[in-house]
Amino acid sequence: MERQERHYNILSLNKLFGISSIFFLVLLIWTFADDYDRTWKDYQREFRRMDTELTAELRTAEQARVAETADYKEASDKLAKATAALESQAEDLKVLEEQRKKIDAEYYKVQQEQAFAKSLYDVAKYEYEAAVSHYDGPAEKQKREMEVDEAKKTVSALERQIEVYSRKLTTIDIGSMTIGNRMANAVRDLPVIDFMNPYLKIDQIIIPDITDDMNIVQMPKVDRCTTCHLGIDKPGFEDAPQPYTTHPNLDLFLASASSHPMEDFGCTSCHAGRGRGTDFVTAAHTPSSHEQEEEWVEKYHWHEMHHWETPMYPTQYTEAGCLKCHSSEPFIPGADDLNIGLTLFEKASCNGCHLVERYEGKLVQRAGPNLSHLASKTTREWAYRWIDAPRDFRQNTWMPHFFDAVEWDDEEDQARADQEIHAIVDYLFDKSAGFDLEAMPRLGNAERGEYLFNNLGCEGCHKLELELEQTPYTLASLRQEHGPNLTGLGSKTTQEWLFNWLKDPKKYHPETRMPDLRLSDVEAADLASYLHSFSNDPFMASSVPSVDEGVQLDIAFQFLIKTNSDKVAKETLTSMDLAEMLDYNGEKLLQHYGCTGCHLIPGFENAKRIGVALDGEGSKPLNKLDFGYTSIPHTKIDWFTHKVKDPRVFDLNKVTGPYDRLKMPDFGFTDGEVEKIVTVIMALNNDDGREKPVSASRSFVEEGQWIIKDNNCMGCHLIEDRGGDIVVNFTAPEYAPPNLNTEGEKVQPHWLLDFFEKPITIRPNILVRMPSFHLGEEKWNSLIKYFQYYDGQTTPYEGDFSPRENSIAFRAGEKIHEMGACNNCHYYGTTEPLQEPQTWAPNLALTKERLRPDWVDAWMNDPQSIMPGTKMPRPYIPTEEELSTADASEVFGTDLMKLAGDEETMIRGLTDYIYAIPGKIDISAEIQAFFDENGYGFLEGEEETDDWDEEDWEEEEWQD
Amino acid sequence: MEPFKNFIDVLTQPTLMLTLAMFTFPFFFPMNDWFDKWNRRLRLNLLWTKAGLIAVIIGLTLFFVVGVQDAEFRLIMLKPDNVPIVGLIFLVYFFMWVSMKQASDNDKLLSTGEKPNEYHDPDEKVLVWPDLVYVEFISLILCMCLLLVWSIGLDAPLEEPANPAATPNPSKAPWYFLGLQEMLVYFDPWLAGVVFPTIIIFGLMAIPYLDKNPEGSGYYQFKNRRLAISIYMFGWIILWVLLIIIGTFLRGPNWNFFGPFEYWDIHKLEPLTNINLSEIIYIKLFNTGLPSNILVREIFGFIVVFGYFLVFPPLLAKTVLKRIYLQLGNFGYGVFVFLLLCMLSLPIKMYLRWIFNLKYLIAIPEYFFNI
Repeated sequence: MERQERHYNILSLNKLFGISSIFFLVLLIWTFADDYDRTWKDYQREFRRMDTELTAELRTAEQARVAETADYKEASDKLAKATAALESQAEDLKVLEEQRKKIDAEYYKVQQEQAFAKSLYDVAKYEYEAAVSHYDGPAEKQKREMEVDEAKKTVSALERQIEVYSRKLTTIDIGSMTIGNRMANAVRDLPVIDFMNPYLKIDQIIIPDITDDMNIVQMPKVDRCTTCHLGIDKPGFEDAPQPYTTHPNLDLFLASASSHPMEDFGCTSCHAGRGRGTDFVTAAHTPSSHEQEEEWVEKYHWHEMHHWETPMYPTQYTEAGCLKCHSSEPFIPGADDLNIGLTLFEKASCNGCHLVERYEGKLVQRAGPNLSHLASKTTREWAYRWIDAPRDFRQNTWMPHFFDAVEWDDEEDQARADQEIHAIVDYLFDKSAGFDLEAMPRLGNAERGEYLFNNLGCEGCHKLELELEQTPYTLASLRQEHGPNLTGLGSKTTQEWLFNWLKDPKKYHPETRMPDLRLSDVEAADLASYLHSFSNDPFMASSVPSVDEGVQLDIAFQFLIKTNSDKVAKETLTSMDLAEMLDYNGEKLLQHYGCTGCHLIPGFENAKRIGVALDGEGSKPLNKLDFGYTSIPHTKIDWFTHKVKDPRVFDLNKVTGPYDRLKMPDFGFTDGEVEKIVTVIMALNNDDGREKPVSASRSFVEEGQWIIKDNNCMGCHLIEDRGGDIVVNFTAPEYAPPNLNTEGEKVQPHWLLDFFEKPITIRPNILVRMPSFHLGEEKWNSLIKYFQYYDGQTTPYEGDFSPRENSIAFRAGEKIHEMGACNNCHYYGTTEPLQEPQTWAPNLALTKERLRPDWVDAWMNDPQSIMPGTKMPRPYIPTEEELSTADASEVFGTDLMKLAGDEETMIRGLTDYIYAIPGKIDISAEIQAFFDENGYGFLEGEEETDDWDEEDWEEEEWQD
Repeated sequence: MEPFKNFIDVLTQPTLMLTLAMFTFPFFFPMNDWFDKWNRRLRLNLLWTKAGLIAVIIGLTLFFVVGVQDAEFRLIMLKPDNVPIVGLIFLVYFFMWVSMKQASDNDKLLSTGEKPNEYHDPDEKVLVWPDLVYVEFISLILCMCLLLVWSIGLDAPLEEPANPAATPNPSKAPWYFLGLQEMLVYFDPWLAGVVFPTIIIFGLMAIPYLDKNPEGSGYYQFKNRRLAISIYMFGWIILWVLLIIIGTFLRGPNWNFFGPFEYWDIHKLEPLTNINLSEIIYIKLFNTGLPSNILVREIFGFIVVFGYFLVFPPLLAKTVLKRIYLQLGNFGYGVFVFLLLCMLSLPIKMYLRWIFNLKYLIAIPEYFFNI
């Protein structure tokens, strides 16, 4: 090989260089293309087209509408006429104009002179002023011009509406653009120069005070969702495809007038997800079903954002985003699923085992019955069967299944479960303290008991159905199941126990929410015999295995070995006899299964919760959730769903001792219920929310709402326009518990307290009874404050209202009262109304004690708006014309004539008069006496059912 | 395909794989005539021919093509962090081939008495322009191309926000430290994290002063540098590159070993009760409790460690390393043999762990001193 100066062939190097440079250039272009090709840009282009179309449509519609309006036509005509008039006077105007010009010239001349000769200033000024003051020629023209201006203004105001759309079109519709704009439009989105003012750009909402937790720092939320979801806050795109669709609830969200404006809340503060993501996958969208997932994989190459810990909530769980700000509220308006979920959560008493801050001090923690005197209530056999399978006895019970909750139980486990139940029953009955049952004065009448059950208001909280319909829960149906379904009581307990319970529930169970209905002995006996007439025989027919000492030994050993050495455990075991062992096992098992979470059990008065605290559970990192050997998809929602639905599923295939397994019981939730409960668990997260302003009135209202929820007031009463579920059971709303809207404005607080403490009869003709809840002064005060603050009536102490007797207004009121014949329906002290009992209305002598005069005014003015459906008519108020007729003084009297036209004073006069009505205030006894005699036949329609002895109705008080 | 996958999973068990690698290593890089004979008899020298290159590249490629079909291996292999390690496997072999190919060519020439290939290079060598700069520039462009394609094709492997309260599982060091992380399994952190890296750096710096053999200056050859190349390649390929590959592909949750086709089951457990030498001797052998005096307790560990570093050098100087001892003199030989023993302590410790569950030879946690 000949030696050459160059080691390499320069020509081939050149070629290599050329090829690699071209390759590099291609790659550079590819880099740009890759960088600029973003799906959100396609979305923005598409939305621009849609927006153009919609705006053009709206403009055409608006043009057509404006052209049709009378104003526009009239103004156009006026404009034409005024223009014509102006032209017809053109000649005159010309002359005037010339005159004006001349005078102007003089004026300028004078001005010039003034400039040149300061000494002549005063003179010139005088001449100028004189000239101006004599200048009145063009007045006519001014008038015409003003008319033209006026007409022009009207027309242009109307045309401006069209202009708004046109202007928008010129900025977004290429067809309507100026050439300059068209060029700019073509260039503005080109690479590199698009930093200036591109049309296609990332649209973001920055919320400095709501942050994403990055563990070390809190980063303000930056939501770029609107980059693609372009129509989200614009009405008109409701039917557009995603991502352009308008938000389904603009009244509550996004709009600046709503309570969650977009610029203050963004998107991910409620929906979760990754706000900074600008493509489908990186925004951490989450499919709401398997079908959707498949569709997304196909369409968007969707996959889970493995490293983003707060993926978007699937649509059905969206309301999980509400609670982080609204956690202090018992009811979150608008969040229907979450409210149902929360109520299910409360009913199932999840809080009994799992601490949730939200409920501390708000709801009774132990939702189940008191087991301290169990032996007086039921038998061991019933208790055994009940613990084994509560839902066999009562389909909708909240008592969960502890012992047949696991599918892979083998025989040994089943035998152990049987013996565990024996041990628990044994402990409960052995420790059950004595309870003195009062003897029933007489056997009850079940038929009368049924009548009472249907009419006293029991159904506000209880159902009595053997087979419940399997319909999804609503808030209303949950309120109607506030207390247990009363089916099968005959198999469970004795009539005597029922009698004692009904007479005084708090005696047996001090924490119970069952109120005292102030039943007479006879009523209680009737109800007890009615309730006792239902039995559940298939349930009682199931077999109860006998106690097996071998298994009991093993159970005791398993517990002993936990804290003792093998030797000590065995020694202890041999020293126990069977009874001791059963008690020992029972005690340990009650603790193990956390029965104390819901029940008061002797020996466990101060037991702690056994479950994990659930606050922050929704934010738990995935790796803290043990999926065990199951093949459940690894997402939080899947884990919670399976945990709630099949609580011990994660033990699958695990080798564990019998008391090291999962012990959460099976509540038998349906899929829909599970979904709502999972929404609640996801809602219990640590995500940053917006601190709600804490005001006294807000906390007063919430405090009261909790009491209302805990005591199920809405089961009977309509409050905040919700509830009153029992009302449909009555033939007419006026025989049902009253609507409590405007209660705070309506009643005097000290009266309300007296009423709560000792209810009296207000509405004479209703049989349903306001029970005594014995909540105590503190809670009653909270409730009164709630009613007041909810209605914005915040004056705590008000003076007595003194009617101005003998004033004109008072006498006018008296006259109106007379004409209205109030005594047809209303009691006046003990004076009975004139009409039949079914129309009877409250005692007017009670008004001064009970009602607030301002409310009475409003009530008189329009009773229907306050209590829709009320039979109270608006009192007849004569009009000004009627009062000016010739015989007015005869018909209406002079006092009304003096007030002619002043309805307000007339109504105030009527109020004055009513407040002056004398008489007995609490007429409960008198009313009761009347109905004892005559019965409530009208409640049943025409049918007469009142056929029992009068003496049965002794001792009763009928209350509102 | 399943039998193949199972076979690979068994083969890649670390004990088996490292043992195989270590014991077949001298056949690939024969350090004496006996191994050289077998190297030739097994035709392992074909590895450094063009056919060998093609065969190995095809073989490796096939392995990864097959591997990518497997859901578990695909997850590991295509993770943006790990893609370069796949490249590393090809590159390491390729550059090893480049040098060994030239070395074996030159060996042949030298054995027939001829001059090595490089002897014929032009005397004036190359010009800066265009021979050096132009070529460098073209390489630069091609590197840029590679980086562009890479950055378009693979997104940055971002993970969840760093959380001081939650360690990722497995928690892996950057790839170049995976060898060190592997050493941490067998040695106390002060050794694996501080002492050994320092020794490695100083050892690499010492090579030119220890390897004074003039043979092969300016060109590759193997035959006259067998020991030097073998020792270096053992440290580089087995104790560094292989450990990186193990760390990347075979270490899963809880730092457990998983075959490439095995599901990373977080529940997988391995018996991990390791005991110290003192416990083996006093409790298992003597059946007495541990002495309370630290020195008495750890005396056997000290004997072993000091014995290792004091007995082996003179022993080796008299036997296998006689020639080197004569070449380097006392000091040079001392440094050389110390480095060599340090290097060998890693596989030795690995085997002690695997066979005896040995945790530390000397365990004085009271003073944070463990070996």
